[in-house]
Amino acid sequence: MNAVETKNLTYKYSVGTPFETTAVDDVNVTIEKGEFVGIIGHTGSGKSTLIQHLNGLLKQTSGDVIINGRNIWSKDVNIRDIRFEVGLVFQYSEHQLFEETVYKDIAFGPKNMDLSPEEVDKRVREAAASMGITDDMLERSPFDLSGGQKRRVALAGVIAMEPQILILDEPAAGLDPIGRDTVLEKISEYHKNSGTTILLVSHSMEDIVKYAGKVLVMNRGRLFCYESVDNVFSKSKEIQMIGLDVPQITRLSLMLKEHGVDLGDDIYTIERAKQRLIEQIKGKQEC
Amino acid sequence: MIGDIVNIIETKDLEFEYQTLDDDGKVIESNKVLKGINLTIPKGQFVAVLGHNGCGKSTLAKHFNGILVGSKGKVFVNGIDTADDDKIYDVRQNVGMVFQNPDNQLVATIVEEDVAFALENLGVPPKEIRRRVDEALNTVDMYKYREHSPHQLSGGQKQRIAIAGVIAMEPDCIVLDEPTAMLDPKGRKEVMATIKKLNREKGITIVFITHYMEEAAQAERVIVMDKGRVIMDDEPKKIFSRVEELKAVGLDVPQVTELCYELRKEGIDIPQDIITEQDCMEHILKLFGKDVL
Repeated sequence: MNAVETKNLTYKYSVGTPFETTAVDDVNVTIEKGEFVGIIGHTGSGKSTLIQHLNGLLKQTSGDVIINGRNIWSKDVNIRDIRFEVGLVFQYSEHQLFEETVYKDIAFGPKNMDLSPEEVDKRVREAAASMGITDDMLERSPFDLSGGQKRRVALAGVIAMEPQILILDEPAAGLDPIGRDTVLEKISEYHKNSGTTILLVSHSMEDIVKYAGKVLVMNRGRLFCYESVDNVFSKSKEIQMIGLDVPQITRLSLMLKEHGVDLGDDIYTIERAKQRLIEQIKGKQEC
Repeated sequence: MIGDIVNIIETKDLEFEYQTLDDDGKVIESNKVLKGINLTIPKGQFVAVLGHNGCGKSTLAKHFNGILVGSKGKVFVNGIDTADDDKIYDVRQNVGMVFQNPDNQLVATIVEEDVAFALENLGVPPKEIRRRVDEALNTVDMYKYREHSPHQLSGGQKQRIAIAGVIAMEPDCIVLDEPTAMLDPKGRKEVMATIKKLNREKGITIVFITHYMEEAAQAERVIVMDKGRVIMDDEPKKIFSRVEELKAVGLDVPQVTELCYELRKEGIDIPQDIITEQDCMEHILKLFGKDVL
C-alpha cells in the first residue's frame, strides 16, 4: 500500500506574469506506507514546495497528489480530513508555540479534532513522552525551555494528532549537536514504535543517512533520484555536481577509490568504512 | 598604550552573572555563565570557539566588543578596557560582530545602503563611504549585487552583506557567532571562504563560533568551552585528537578523525591527529604501501 503518490506533479508561481517560475516540475514518486524518507536538495530546489502539496496547503498547477489511495483534490474528498492524515511541521517550528503551558500547546491540535477530553489527555501525554518531554515540563511555559526542548514540544503538538504521514521540514536546523541528535533520535524511535510514514527534509546528508531508509533528491524542481540509502552514494559525484554535500566519510572513500583502494559505493557511516578497511588491510597481510 | 599591542583581545579573570531581580530590586536568582576566563588573542589569529549550547560561548563573544561587561574581571580590546564608557565606540570600531540570523542584521532596502549604514552614522565623508563600500562589497564578492534588495538574496549572500557592513568599518577583529548555522551547504562554503580570505589577505583577526567541526578544523586555534570555562585551547589537530574528552562535553569530531580513532582501537597504526580528508587518505594509502605523488 502506498502512503504518498504524485503523478506528473507540477507547480508554477506567478502564472501569466514575467515572473512565472516552475517550482515543481513533473514529479512522479511513490512512497510506501511506513517508510522513513529523507528529502534533500539545495535551496530553491523545490523540496519545500513539494511537501506543501502533500497535505493540500498548495494546489498543483497540473498533475495529481494521491494520499492513502485517495486523490486529495477529487470532489468526494474533504481536504480537512487530509490535513489530519498528513501532519506537516515547518522549519523553526518553535516559533509556532503560543500557549501558556506546554500541555495546552500540545493539546491544541487534538482538541480541534472532536475527541473526548480523556482521549485528548491520553494523546498529549503519549506525544510528550515520545518526544522526551517529562511530566514536570508540561505545566511550564513553553517559552522557558531551551531551543531543542521547544522544538520537541512543537513536534509533540503535531504527533498528538496521530497523523498517518508525518512531514518534517528541517527539524534539526540551528540546534547544537546534542539538540540535533536528541530530536532526530526521538523522531526515529517514534517511527519504529508507531509505524508512521515519515518524510524528513534536511540539508544534512549525514543526518539523513543515519535515520532514513530512502533518500529523495530534488534538483531545480525535478526529482533527481529516489533511492535506498545503500544505493544513493553510487551517484555521489552527480550529487556533488548539483551542489549537495555527501558525508565526509563518503568523500574520503571516493578519494581512496581514485587511488586504487575501493571500499565500495555504499560508504556513508564510519562503522562501515572501518569494517571494509580492516577487511582489506587484513586481506592484504594474508597475501 | 599606542604602538606595539600584540594582543587584540585580552580577558583577565572574566566572570559574568545573569541576575533576576524582584520588584524591589532584590536579587532572587542568579546564574553564573562565565566563571573566570583568561584568554589572549593575538592580532591576525583565526580562532574557532566550540561548545554546546549554554556553555557560555555567545556570552563570552558579547564581551569582546562591550555589548556585555563582566560582573568581575576585565576585557581589553587593543589595550582599551571595555568597561570604560568614554571609549566604547573605539572598542566597537575595532571589533565587529556578525550574528546567526542573516535576516535580523540587514536594515536597509538596498544592499549598498546597508553596507554604508554604519559609516553614515560615524560621519565618514561621502567619497570615503563610496570607496569603502565598494571595497567591502568586492571583498565579499557581492559587488554586482550592490543595487539589489536584500530579500532577493540567498542566506549565504545575506550573511556576506552583513560581513561587508562590518568590514566597511575597517575593524581589526571580527567576531562571528554561528554565522553558518542557518545556511545550506553552499551558503556555508561561501561564508567560510569569505572569512578565510579576510584573515589571510587583510590580516583581520577572526573569532569564529561554530557547531560544525569541519569548519573549526580550518582555524589556527580552537578554544573549547564547557559550563562557563575554557577547558581546551590548542591547535585543531591536538584538540580533535582528544576524541573521548570532546564527546564527554557533547561535541563531535570530524568523521575522518573518528575513523582514525576507531582504526587505532583495532590496533591499526595510523596517527590520531588527522583532521582533513587529504591527510586521512594519505595515511590510509600508506597502510596499503602506496604513496601519493
